[in-house]
This record gives sequence, C-alpha cells and structure tokens, in this order.
Amino acid sequence: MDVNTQTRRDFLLRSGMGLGAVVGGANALGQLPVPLGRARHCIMIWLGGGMAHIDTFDPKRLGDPKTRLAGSAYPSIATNVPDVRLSEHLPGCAKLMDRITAVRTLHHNVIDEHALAVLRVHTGRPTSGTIQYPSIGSIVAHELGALYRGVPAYVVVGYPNVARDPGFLGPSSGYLYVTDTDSGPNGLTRPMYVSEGRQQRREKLLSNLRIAGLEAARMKSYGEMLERSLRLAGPDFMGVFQLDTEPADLRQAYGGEFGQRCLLARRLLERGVRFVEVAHNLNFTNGTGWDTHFEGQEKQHLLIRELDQALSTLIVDLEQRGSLDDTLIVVGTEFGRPAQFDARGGRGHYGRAFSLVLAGGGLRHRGAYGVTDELGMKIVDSPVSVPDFHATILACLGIHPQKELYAGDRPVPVTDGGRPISALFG
Amino acid sequence: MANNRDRPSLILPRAQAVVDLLTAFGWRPARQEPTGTREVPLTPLQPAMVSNGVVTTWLTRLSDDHEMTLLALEVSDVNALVVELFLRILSRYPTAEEMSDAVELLSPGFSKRRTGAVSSPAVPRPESPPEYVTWANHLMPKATVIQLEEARLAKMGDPVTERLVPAWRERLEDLLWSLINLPETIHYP
Repeated sequence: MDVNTQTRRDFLLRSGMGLGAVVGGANALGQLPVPLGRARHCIMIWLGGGMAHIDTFDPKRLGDPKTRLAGSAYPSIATNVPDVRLSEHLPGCAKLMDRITAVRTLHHNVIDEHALAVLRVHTGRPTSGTIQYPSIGSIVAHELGALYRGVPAYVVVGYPNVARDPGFLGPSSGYLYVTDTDSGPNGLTRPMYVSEGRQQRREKLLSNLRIAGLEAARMKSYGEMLERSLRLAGPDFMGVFQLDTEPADLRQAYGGEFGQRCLLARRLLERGVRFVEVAHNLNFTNGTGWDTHFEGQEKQHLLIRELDQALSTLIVDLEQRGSLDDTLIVVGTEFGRPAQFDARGGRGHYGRAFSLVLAGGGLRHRGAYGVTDELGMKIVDSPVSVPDFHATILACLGIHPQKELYAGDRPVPVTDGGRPISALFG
Repeated sequence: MANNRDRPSLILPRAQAVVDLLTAFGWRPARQEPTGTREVPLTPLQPAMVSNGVVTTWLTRLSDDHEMTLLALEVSDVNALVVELFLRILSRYPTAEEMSDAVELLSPGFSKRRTGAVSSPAVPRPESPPEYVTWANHLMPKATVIQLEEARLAKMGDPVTERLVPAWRERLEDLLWSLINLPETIHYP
C-alpha cells in the first residue's frame, strides 16, 4: 500500500489524536430521536409520474377542470378516522385509515424534471459530482440484509432505474428485478428454449469442467456464488413467482396487474426478502400514468381506484396473516400536483407540498399527519422533508436514523439530516 | 438506463440486457474517478446474470453468422473442435480429462452434423422500421406494444442456424454455455 492510499484517518490516528474525538463512527450516534420500530420488512409502492395529492390523499374543496376552477377534481368522503377525508375514489383505504398515515406535508424543490425528482425521493439527496447515493431500498438491504440466507434482500417489481441503484454501496446492495408478474425474475429465469433436461445437462457439464479443470483458489468464492445462484434459480425460491398457488378469490380481490404485483410483493416478503419496490404498471390504463398533464387527467380516477383496491387488499391480507405490524408499506411518488388546472384540464407538477403515505409497520397511525392550506399548496403545520421521511422509514425498520454509511473511506450520513416523525413512534 | 417513468414504451431492451450484465459486476454509468482495479463484493446475482442473462443467449445460441457455427461446419475432427473451443474461450489447451469429457459429448453425430442446408438468407433488420417509437409518440398504446415486442425479440436473439443438426447443435451450445459460465472464464477475460 503506497503513501497515496493512506487515509486521513490513518494519518490522524498516527498523529496521536483521540479516536473518539476525530473518528466518529459509533461515537457520532447520539441519543435516539425516537424509539426504534420493530418492523421486519418494507414494501414501497411507487407511483410513477407524480400523484396529485389534492385528488387522492389530501382532498380540498371541489374544483372543475372544464372551467379551470382550482380545487379537487373529485368530491371527498369521510374515513374511519375523524376529521380525515380522502378522495371518493379511495373507498377501500377510507375504511382502513386507522392503519394508514397520509403524510401531507412533504416538500422539495425538484419539479422541473421527472428523472431528477424520482432520484430525489429515492435517495433523499441532490445529485453529487463525486459519489452516487444509494436508494432507500439499497440502504435497507445493506443495513439489514435478507431475512433468510440465500434470498435476495432487495427486489424490484418494475423496470431497472438508476434511482433504485445502490450507488456507492455496490452491487451487493443491488436488486433483483422482475418486469411483470407473468415473467420470471431477470437473471434467474431459464431462457424458454432451454428445457429442464437441457438445463440439467448444462449444469452437469459445468460441474464436470470445474472438477477437471484449473480452478484456482481465488475463484473459489465466485464458485460458491455460482452454486448459490443455481439454487436460487431452483424451484425453492422461484416458487414465489407462481401466483396461481394463491386462492382465486384473493387474486381477484387484489385486482389487475398492479394488484398482482402487490400480491407477489407479499409473497416475496414471506420468503425472506427485506425490501420490495413495486412500480405501478403504466401499460394501458392511462397513457401518461400518474403524470396527468392535459388529457391525462381524464382517466386518473381509474388509476386511483386501482391503487385503492390493491393497497386496501394488501393491508387487510397482511393483517389477516398477522404480519401488518412487521411490514411497513410506503406509497411514494416523485412530487404532487397543483390545485390549478392547465389549459386542457390536467395538472402540472408541484413540490412545495405533497403527500406520501405510510401504512402498517407498527407505527402509531393517525390517518393524516401535517396540514396544508385550503388548496393543498402551502404547508401550514409540521413540514416533512424527504430526508425526514427516509429517517422515519429507517427508524421504523430499526435502523438508527443518524448512523453513517461509508463510500470507500468517506462517511456519509444515512439521511441528509433527516429526523423521523416522532408522532408516529412510541 | 433511465426509464424513470416506468413506461414500457421507453425501454431499450438490447442496451438494457448489456447494462444488466455489466451492472451486476459493478459497472456504473457515472464514473467519478478512474479506477485501476475494482474491488467488487460477490453476489449470487452475478453468476445468475451470466447463466440466464440475455447476453448469454446471444453468445450461446448458434445462429447462421455465429463464429462457432462456422467453426463447427469447417473443422475436420472432434478433437480439433474441442481444442479450438478451449483456446478461444479459456486461452489454454484442455486438460486430458476435459478433453475426453468434451469429445465424449460431441462425438455422437459429429460426422453427420451438417444438414446440407445453405445459410438462410439473412432477414435484414430494416434500417428505419416502418413503425418505431420516439419520445413524440411514446404515450400512444401502440408504442407500448411495439417496445414489448422488441423486448421479446431481444430475449430470443437471432434465429438458430439450419445448417447443423439440432440435437448435435444443442450439445455444442451446452458445452459453450458451460465454458462461458466457468469461474475461470470470469476471472480471465
């Protein structure tokens, strides 16, 4: 090791300065800001495009897209939590609001571009020229690992995306992805022209070659990984993706492809995956997805209904299995939308106040947290930044929200100064 | 690969297949400083991408213009074929045991491996296909259909050659697959 790889830490240690004063690490963890939660795993539902909070979880007075009167596009309904109302298209969730908290006062300033906003909500930080920050899923996978050996810790049901990447934590905190519930996971599914018999022949050839060949000692760990990957591709883990073993009425209760993705996520958690990100599939229901500019607004209610059906069924399903308190459910989106309608009846982007949702996880749910003004555009009480939201997720899963990760030798706080929402804990 | 809107009409399946393989081994799209040796902790997803990834399909399915197809058609005996395979992939000669195992696999049907078919005229991929997806039209439902079909075609790879008898060709493909998946191949690029 030459002089250039000597770290600042080494130099200071050798200069005799105190370990505690300078090095940080465990000593930098102060008192816990909230009692840590005991949730064991997390499902994050991702609504790509920017969910209009005024049309869903933070409804206000009724507006009209045709006359461009600012306000909610749909009337609101009461829920089982007093004084908390939801859009009429969320009837399932309305009956379960005592297990849900809509955090209505999220805010950030990144609304010009979707990619940047998606990155901001996933990583909690602006982009940096020097390091690539990990997504919240990668952080959880890195800190906690999978529940059972040999199972991936982080799975994405959707498309790979740089916002979901592990950044400086490296590929060991990366994700396995599966693009839809009909196909198997990428990398573990045999190509369709390879039959079972052919696969066995291939594996036999491979193991014979390894015995007969020149496998050096340092290839041994790769060899072990090879064996583990062959086991992962076997029926034991891959059985998770067979949704037809679930009762038909449950599958119907979940609804279409998005609901089936939530069902798959539940199965993955039972199999030992720690963090599953489920992207709302945006194939054909509404061309723009949740990004309801202009005419995209017309079919938004179909998306909201789809979300409602899947989310409420997921909560009830987990509760009936006794694992709702173990499972934190997060509904994320990149920003909100303003109360005003644009020239063709849709909404633009808005980030000064928007809603993200938490459910389950053993938190002290209250239906809604934080107050916005009469059009959902200004925060009146209890702002929650994206780092605060991340800190809440981490604390719920039992991870100290002020600990440090390491990018090489460089300490990086696990959130950018975020503080968990204390009202939800203890 | 940025498909931040999760829209199927925005996927780039062939590029994604390559990026998936590289990313599993620690490649990142942004490189802040030059790296000489990369310390990448191992995960089971790395050999998984090599075993079942789309890129491996492209490498191990013998199409008409695959180098191994041409080699298999021209070589004079099984031993020469096996030696060529090892030299090309592992940059070394096979050990005696490896040689006998591989010869045992490829000898049956070797003399009758050629079907006599001429190479099927390559169906050229049109430079500008009549219907394709761009940013301007990606919100139309048809764009999703087109890109999902692109993804299916990418996964299948090129059509297999008709010039080799299928049963024998599949054995050669399986040997090729096993050579590519050896830890030795991964560590001696």
